[in-house]
Amino acid sequence: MHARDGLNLWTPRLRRYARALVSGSPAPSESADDLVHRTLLRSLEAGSFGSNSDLGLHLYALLTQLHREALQTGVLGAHAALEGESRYARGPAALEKKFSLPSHRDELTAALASMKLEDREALLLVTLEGLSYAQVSRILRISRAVVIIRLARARLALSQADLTQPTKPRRPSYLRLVK
Amino acid sequence: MNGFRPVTDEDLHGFVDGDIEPRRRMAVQAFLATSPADEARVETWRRQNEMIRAAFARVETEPVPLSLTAVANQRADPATKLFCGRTQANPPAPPRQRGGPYIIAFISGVLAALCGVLLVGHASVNESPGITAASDFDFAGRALGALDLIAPSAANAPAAEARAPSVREAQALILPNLMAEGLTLAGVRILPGASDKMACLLYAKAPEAALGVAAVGAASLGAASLGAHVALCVEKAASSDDRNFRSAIMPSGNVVYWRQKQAKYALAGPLNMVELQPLAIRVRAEVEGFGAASPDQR
Repeated sequence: MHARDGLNLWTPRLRRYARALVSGSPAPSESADDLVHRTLLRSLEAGSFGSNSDLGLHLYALLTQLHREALQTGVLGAHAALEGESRYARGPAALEKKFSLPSHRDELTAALASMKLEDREALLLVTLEGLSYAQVSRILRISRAVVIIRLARARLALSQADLTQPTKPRRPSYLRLVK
Repeated sequence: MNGFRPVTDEDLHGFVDGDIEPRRRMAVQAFLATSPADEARVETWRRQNEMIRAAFARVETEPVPLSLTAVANQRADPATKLFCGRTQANPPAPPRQRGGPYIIAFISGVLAALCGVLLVGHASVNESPGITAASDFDFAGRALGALDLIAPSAANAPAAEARAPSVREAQALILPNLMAEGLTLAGVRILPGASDKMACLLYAKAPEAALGVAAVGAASLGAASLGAHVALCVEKAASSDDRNFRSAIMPSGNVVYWRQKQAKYALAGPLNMVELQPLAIRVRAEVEGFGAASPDQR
């Protein structure tokens, strides 16, 4: 009962983190689900982790590590390219241009893509997953000071994207009122 | 030297993310009051946090694909040592506490006098599958709101007494004993629910709370502490199917919620989610094990 509850409790949150990490978008993602699936399998193979809180930190750490490995080996890139959804795997320069008014969500995705992976990891773990700096430090195996440095860089990147301002149209309108 | 340390960017980030010591928090607040530029930065970071959470809020409420639940349900074995920090082969039983079952029975009896209308089959809400997830989420939000509403005072006692249902309509709620987690029951409140009443229990750390549950009526909490750390709210569910845990991060705190034994449960509090989830597992285990305890645990 507890083992199942533990994994089931964490799975929805892992999916959320995985989507943000893989594609920066809340839309369904086969790549993100595949990442979560591999994380769960690998964690079961690894064995005992003590308390439920230790399990959570372990799962986040494992998912982050597997995501990095997938990017390095190009596995995630190939998979995501087929889905046509991931910008990260192909790099920020591969972002598609859109002619419709950019929504906050598109801009958020673009902003997340524009920052370094390590900064994005720290940002999502703190803001999206609500983890403390000490917990993020354990997950990423870095010091608290480095967590905050990466968080600061990520926030600066978001600030430069000016996400918190109302969306402004980027293409001029050629319509004129003719009397 | 008075040991004053200037407010740094690290303090500002910690202030936004709630990861700062109380004394430093006060120093940061005082500093921001005198520095509009830094106040604007902090506000920008706060809005960024809200935007990111809002963008991904619905992901957690989506049904989990079978491919992922199958990993846990087929491979997870209660006989393993995973996740519990225990070594016995059988699933862990509710903790043996001196007087624990009696406390549960006493509290159940008290709430039986207060919460009868909750569980008598008057619920006539027929929830369609499409709105069930939304209603559960709304219930979770109400549970968190209960933390703000519950404020024991003598002035509230008469109104609460008037709301107490008749004993003949009473039916016991299953109330978990969280003493093993260092929490004791600090208070009880009956609040409006979606279609009926919602019972909310306040738990606080054991040294800080007096068990001040009144014998009759839930309004007067006597010397019970307002320093409760979590609220467990229970409301009757229209359907009898159990649901797995879901959680939500809201501006005022975090919530873990689920369905079990024809009731909706929500555990809410200003705790880190990593701290809140083990409590939710404990509550669920207590509810599941209630009435099924082996003879040697009595």
